[in-house]
Amino acid sequence: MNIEKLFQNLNRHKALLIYLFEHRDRVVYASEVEELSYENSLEVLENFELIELNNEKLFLDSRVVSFLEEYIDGSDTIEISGIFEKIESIKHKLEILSEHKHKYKEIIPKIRRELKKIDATLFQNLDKLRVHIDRVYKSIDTFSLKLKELEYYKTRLKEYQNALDGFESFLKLHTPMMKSYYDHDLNTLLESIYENKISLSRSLIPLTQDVIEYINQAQKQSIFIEKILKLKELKDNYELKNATNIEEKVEEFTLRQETLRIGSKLHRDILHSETFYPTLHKISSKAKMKIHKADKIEFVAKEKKQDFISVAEIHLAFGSSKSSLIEFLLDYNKLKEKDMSEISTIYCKMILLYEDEYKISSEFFEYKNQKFAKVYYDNRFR
Amino acid sequence: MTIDLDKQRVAKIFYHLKDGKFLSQNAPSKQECYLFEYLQKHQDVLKEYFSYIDIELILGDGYAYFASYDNKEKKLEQIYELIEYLNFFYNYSASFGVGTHFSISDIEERLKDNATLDAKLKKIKTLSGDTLRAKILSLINKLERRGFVALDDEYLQRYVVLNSFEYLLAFFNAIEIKE
Repeated sequence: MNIEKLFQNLNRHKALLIYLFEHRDRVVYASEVEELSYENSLEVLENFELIELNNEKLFLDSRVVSFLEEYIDGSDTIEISGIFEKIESIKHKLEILSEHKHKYKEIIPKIRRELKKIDATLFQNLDKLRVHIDRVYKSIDTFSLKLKELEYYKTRLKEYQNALDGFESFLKLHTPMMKSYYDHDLNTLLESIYENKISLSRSLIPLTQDVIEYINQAQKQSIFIEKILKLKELKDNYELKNATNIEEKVEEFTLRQETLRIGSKLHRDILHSETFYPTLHKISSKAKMKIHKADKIEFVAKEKKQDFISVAEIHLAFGSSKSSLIEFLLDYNKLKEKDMSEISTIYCKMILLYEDEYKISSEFFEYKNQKFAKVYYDNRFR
Repeated sequence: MTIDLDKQRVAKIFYHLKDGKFLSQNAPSKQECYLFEYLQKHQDVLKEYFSYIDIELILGDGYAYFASYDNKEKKLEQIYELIEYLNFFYNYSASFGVGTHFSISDIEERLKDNATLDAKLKKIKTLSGDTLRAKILSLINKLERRGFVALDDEYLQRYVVLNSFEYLLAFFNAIEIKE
């Protein structure tokens, strides 16, 4: 075959050839390319074995497709095994070179080309792996399929790591020999390859971690979905309460369903005033007591004009306190004006009356030279 | 404690959370994001501040809400409702989770091709509306009202799942199914 004629024809029919390459994944019919071809285009190209014509169906020759894909990296497939072949090929060339040093000028450029190819392949494949993995994670909805695909890419990453390690070992072992030929271009290339290799190793670590993380996430999500489906099934069969610990866990479910209402009738200006926050801080410890409609009690007390202290009322209030009985009594609003002997009496009365509901600790509280056992409200009665 | 709270922001946080709605870090609304940042920065002061009026402010991983400890039966009702919603959404998309985008039209399209999913939606008693679209809207509104999802693109009617969804994941993960 005449190379000049081949190039002439490639140039003459380039529009048709480009169209066939771009549509190589589907069948192209002769009628489709009429505008792109000359009278005898198909015949000429078939004679040069650049295309195949089969019942009006046109195919670009597989060798042309492979050549173009490899040359412009149009292929989407990840090709890692080729790296080992190329390494073996360089080793073979170096062996020949060690025995036939006179072939130096012929073999060294070939080694350079092979090294460049390995370097480029490593870069291209890492990018492809990154794109593929991202695509799998984002676009596949079915979990079993997603997990399968991710496991596949985990294996491919492992292969890639092996190829990178293999190339590193090769470089370690053969760089001194290659450098002994004092070829400036080869030495510069080796240095750049060494730097690229470090950057590739660094990029590979997060990508591998991402895949493992993706797999873990997908597994976790899959387990969670199964759980939700099971809970729904149990709920529909009225078995949820018996078949799960939901009744225990419901305490931990703290989502508010109703709107929160604050019973303040204070004017907005007061609420927003500078003094509101410190005031709130000051009165907050008494806020709970105010809920017990203090106004009404005050009214009744005035009417009866009696200085009556209800032990039962104090007992009820003590039920919501966490402090010891004596500390509670000393802090209790209505007893503020009472002297210590009266408070001691109430303290004793309450212990006698509600002994079953209290817990008497071994600790003591000392106040005005008097010692009081620390008594707490038993949590079981709250 | 130093009192350096911004009253307007605190008020906005309160009004946002008071109806049982979450505040999420990944909300599409910039104002909500700023409020969350502010809340996160002053979380200790704010927790104490709200505690004076008997409100417990809870801050999770990228979300915040006012806790409630009332009525067990009502809580169970809520949980049952949420199981229905999650069951529907996981059937719609297995990758449904924080950051997922979806639109009413997406769900509508899926329902047309998937009779099981369509039946699941129709079986949810708590949803209103006579048409399919109205039911989908009712479902989304329920999640939006609680702050689990938010409208991300008004024109496309596209929603995004917010960080608060993590709360549900954590809660349902803690539930054990007896063998």
